Amino acid sequence: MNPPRIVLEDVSVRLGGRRIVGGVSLDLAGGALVALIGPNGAGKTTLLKAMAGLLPHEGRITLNGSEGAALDRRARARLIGYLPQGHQVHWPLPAEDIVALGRFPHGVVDPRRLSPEDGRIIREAMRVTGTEALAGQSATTLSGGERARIMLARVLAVEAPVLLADEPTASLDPRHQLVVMEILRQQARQGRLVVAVTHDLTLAARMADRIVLMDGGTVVASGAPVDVLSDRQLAETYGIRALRLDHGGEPALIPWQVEAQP
Amino acid sequence: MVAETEARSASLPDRMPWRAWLLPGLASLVGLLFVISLGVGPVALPPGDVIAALAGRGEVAHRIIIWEIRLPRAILALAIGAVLAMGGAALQGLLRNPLAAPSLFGAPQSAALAAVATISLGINDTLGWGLPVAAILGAFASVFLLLAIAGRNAGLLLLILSGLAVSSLAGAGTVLAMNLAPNPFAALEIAFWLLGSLEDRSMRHVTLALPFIALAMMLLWLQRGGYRALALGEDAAASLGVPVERLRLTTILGVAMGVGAAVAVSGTIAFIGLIAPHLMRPFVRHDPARLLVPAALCGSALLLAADIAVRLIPATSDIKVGVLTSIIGVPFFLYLIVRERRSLSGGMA
Repeated sequence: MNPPRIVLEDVSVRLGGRRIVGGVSLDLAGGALVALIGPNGAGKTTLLKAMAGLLPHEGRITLNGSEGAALDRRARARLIGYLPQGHQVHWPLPAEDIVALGRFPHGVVDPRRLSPEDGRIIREAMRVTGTEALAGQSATTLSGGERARIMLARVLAVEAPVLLADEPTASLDPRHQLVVMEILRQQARQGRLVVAVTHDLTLAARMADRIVLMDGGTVVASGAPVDVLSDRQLAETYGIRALRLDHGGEPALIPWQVEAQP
Repeated sequence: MVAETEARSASLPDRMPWRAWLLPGLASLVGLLFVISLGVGPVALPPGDVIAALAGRGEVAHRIIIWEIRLPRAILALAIGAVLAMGGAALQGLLRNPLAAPSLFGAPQSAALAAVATISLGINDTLGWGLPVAAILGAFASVFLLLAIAGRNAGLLLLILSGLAVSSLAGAGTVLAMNLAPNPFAALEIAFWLLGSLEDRSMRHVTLALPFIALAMMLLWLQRGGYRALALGEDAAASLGVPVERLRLTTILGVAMGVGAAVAVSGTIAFIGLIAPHLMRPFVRHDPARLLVPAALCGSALLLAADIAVRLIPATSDIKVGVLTSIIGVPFFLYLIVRERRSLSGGMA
């Protein structure tokens, strides 16, 4: 897999006349787990959707040098896997059929008729996420953690070089938060570009290779976790102070106290 | 051959192999009801006579009864039942909602209004090509209007309320046409559109409706992959390469074409699009894509059965099949509302 690269140049997104994201420029390359963080309403989800090609935007977003809009729908779907927040499923479909939807951009219409290759990829995605045992279970009877992992398996089955995940760890228990972040990090280690929106600063500080901090629709800081998550940044964007620990040389950050709003 | 075996072994295991019998079973049921439908009437014919008459043998009177009177009726029941059910299943797939149905959205009522209006204005006669076209346009306008009012991610409640408004408006328009009818016969003819019936149809009606119905079903069937992907919501579906806007428009067009063509020859027949998909859903593991064909067969069976029933129910006057489907359909609708109560009240918040 050639390491993918997404470049944003002065990207703005308007929704219903309101400017949600304004003037964002970023250069993100494969092989990294990027945590996209920021307070509620900072524009993280909107920016992620624009990167996924789901929202019209101003400015340029290029994927490996070519503009997203120029790509054919299917081709783009094979290059960018997108995991929306909420992990909703509208019908009580069996879990394996949901994972099989990840092969849709590759031309799989019927989950009962798979090529050996598609079948292998689906099983591998379920193995990685530890969901093999859930295969026949209906999506509506799954627990929140199970459903989150099935959805993750679905997006992994796309085998796209870029993976955009919106709050993949929200409403998961601590164990599954770690499991999901570890899977995303593994994907990045394989050369993929993984961008995950998260509110969990502790996990982001520990697991991400790079952090993009948004506030008020713009990127206020971008870089290594230690640089972005400075006391000053946390105070200015979140209005909090963090507790910092050193666990055998590994820094840990815990949101600790509310600061007076700037 | 080898490749095919390999492909099958790579497929996800079928946990309920008996489901392979679903389509053959449904098709046999439809076939059986079709033959019964040809045999039932003032002159009761046993299946043997029916088949003989179809093959061009047997008594001349029987051949005339079968070919001229009962065959058009049975073909229309088969085709209209199928397209109404598939339209319902497609709309439910698009809106991700088991309570979506063309008749609840005012589509047949609007198609009927358009048909009645063009007849009253003298634009169309009841056997011209203009009639199904007008009905299709009426149905399209109503579904398009409804989805425009309700918006992209409309809750159930909003859709059903808007549907109620649209169908009431269309109903009022039709009654107005009756009200203004120059003579009682004209009024009676208009009333036909409200009742929905398959009596006294000819092969002319079949040729009028069938091309549109076939096209509508083909159009909807081709969208099946999109309905399955939509189970994950519009954003996820779009990210998988589903052209969501086009899917929406194609579905509305397909449903309108099917409903319009059906209404043009049979009047409004309601609730098939609600009941048939619901009955079939558990058999296809709730897959909105694989639901389409079984739902269509189930719709055919339901309408054939209802059309047989109206001929068997002892009554002083003929009961119209559209009336029967409503009488069965409304309690069923209420049952679905009770079942979906939670999501309905959720839609209110």
